[in-house]
Amino acid sequence: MVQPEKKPNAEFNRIKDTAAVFNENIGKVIVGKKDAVELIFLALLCEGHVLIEDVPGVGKTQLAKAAAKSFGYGFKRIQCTPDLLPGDITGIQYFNQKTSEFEFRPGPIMANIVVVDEINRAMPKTQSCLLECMQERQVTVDLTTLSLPRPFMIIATQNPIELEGTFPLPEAQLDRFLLRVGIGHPGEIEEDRMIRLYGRENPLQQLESVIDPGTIYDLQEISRSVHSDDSVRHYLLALVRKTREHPDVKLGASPRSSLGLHSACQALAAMRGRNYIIPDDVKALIIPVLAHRLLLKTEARLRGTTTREVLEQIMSETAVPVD
Amino acid sequence: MNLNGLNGTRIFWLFAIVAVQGCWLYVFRHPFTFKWNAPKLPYWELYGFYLISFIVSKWFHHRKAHNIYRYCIGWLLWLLIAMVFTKYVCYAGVDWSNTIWCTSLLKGLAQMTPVMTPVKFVVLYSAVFWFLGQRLACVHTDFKVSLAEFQFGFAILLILFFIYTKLNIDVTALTPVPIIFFFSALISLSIAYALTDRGWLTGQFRLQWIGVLGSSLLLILLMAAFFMLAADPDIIRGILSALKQAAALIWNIILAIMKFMAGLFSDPEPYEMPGMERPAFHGKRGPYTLFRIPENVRQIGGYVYMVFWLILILLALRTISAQVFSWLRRTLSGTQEAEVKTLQGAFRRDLKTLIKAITAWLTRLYKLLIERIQQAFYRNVPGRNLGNIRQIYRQLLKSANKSGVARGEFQTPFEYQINLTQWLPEAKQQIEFITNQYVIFRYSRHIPCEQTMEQIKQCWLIIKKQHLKKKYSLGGKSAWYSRKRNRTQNSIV
Repeated sequence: MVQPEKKPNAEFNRIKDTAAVFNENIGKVIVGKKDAVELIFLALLCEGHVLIEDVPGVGKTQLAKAAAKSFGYGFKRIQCTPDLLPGDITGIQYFNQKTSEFEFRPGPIMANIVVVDEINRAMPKTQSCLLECMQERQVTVDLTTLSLPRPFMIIATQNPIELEGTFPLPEAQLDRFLLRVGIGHPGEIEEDRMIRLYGRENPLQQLESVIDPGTIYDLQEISRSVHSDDSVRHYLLALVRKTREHPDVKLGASPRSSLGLHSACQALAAMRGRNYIIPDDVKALIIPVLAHRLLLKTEARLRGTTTREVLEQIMSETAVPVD
Repeated sequence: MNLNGLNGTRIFWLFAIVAVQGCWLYVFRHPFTFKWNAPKLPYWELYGFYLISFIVSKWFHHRKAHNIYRYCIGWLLWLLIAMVFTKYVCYAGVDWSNTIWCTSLLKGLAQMTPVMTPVKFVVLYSAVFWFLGQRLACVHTDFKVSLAEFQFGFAILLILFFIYTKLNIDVTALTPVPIIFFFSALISLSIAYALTDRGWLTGQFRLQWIGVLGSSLLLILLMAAFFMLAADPDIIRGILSALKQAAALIWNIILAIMKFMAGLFSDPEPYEMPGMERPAFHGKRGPYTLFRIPENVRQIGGYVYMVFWLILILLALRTISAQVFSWLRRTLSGTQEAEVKTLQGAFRRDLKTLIKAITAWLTRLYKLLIERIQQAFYRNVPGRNLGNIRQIYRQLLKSANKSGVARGEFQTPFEYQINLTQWLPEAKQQIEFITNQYVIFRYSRHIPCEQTMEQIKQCWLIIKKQHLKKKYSLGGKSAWYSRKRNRTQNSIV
């Protein structure tokens, strides 16, 4: 429906300003890498989970902890090891000898922001206990279901290089991560600045929160109100559906990924100060949102094809809705 | 020599195309000279229509007039000149002041009989020449155009010669025509091909192309010889009667089998239906008059229907021949291992595509007319700028496309903005403004206010000015020529 012209909503500028403040705060710990920081803020707006995947030593855990600290919510950290049990994450029922009753001790999952470090080092049964938490935001322990606090966000890190002693995440779990973020090595100037920054002390310890916890609900509401035109939505769906028909793809993107991509595009538009989605938003987010969800066929992997290349090919073959 | 973009090479190519078209038009005219015993039936005079139409269309093209003006004014001009010319040819003895020739001419045209009269012939041919002149003014010196003209003319000549042979029309006088046709087609193809920097003698596939040409000529000569020797009406009649007898034999066998099968079932016993009483009629009795479509309307409808199908068949024939030659080209270029689409269902697909294209064209014309009416009548209604920003952006895309900076289908407006800015760096700010406003309107449906719309229009005027300045800054020949070369190279690649 056509609406008469009105001035851009000031509330969208609020998201833009908040994102800028968040970015600046993280910049005190992580030098450069504005794209990765922006994606984490975007995930918070969508209340989605983030998987930070990169080689060792680029600052995955630093970034996750810095983001968690900046949000102003309570956060907990889980260091995944092969001997980690599901109960260590969700919590356990234990018998209190003083009161002679069973009591529930909540695990570290009971926090707004949970940093799960080296998630691929945990055993599959431990990884699977996160499935319910990530999708339904609740935990079931011994027939008791407890809701997780809102907003709830998992920032997981993993190292794609080492294969020994690691357990690759199942497709079901990968599909529950809204974004997969890579950091990459810093440039020369940035690395020099980083060395000077970390020379005296770890700046993470002095980092403070910059986002008021109550603000996030409003910002999320604003983000969900971003308008998406029919043509842009059809374009988004066309891209997602083509991942299911591509000859090199064994498992394409799921309907959950369509929802995730749409809400991510809304959040990105809001962060840019717009109250409508444009096809550039879809193109900017399709790789972070969909790349980790696709499963390639064996022959494609042997040829060296990556999911990124597949998505780029799909984007180059799909017509953008323009007159 | 350079006449506003018409250099010597292009003029030579135009003459070659005109010669190719003139050949099949000359052959089409041939039987009518016998029919009316009218050796003075005009032909060369009709080329005047070609020339005038070409000049008028070129003039409109340079003025960047909308196609609707070009067609309407052009065809009105044709009507005027055609009437004057028809009077000159068919009513030469009648004085100009005596308007009886005018009414007789109009009556002759309106007379819907299937018989071709000299008046209809002159008017029809002048219309065809006018159309061809309009078309030639807008086409580029392209290898595809030359090839399409050759294919179409070749198919028409084959059909016409076959029909004339069946009708026992003497075609001896037409012997030089195919030679002229092939000669002119070869010239036009050579010129167009040479402009792509791949000459016949230096190109990679020179042997294959010369082989194609040689085998085509040989095939034509062999087929002509076959038609002359074997297309004897007696032989054809003999073959047809043999086919008829074979069909009758098969049909008799089928009938015999059906009779046998029917004979296995006994006839039902006759059953007498009880006599039914006719119901009493309570209505008014009297003569009943049925509605009948007037004869003229019926005949006009018949003509329109026939012309419609004729046009469809001719255009479909043209597209099919293009498909065949395209396949041949691909095969000869050494792509033996590449996947080549088969031609199964090609005719159906071509026909569907043609119908869709005609429907889309008619829809666009309808929308254009409706939009103009709406703009005229609903000037002050808010939201009237709804389509304007889209129109301006479309025009921007069209101008950039003509200059060889076409938008890729996968490009968003902001991605394409980079290409546009490289194309016209002098108008960078204006391009950015129009793109931003277009994106706002297209994806958020916010209508720009009057002030913004005025700014958009001003920006578009500046872009047009910069574009024209750039287009003609190096002089007509080199700028136009280099663009054509680039476009031809891109299309071949």
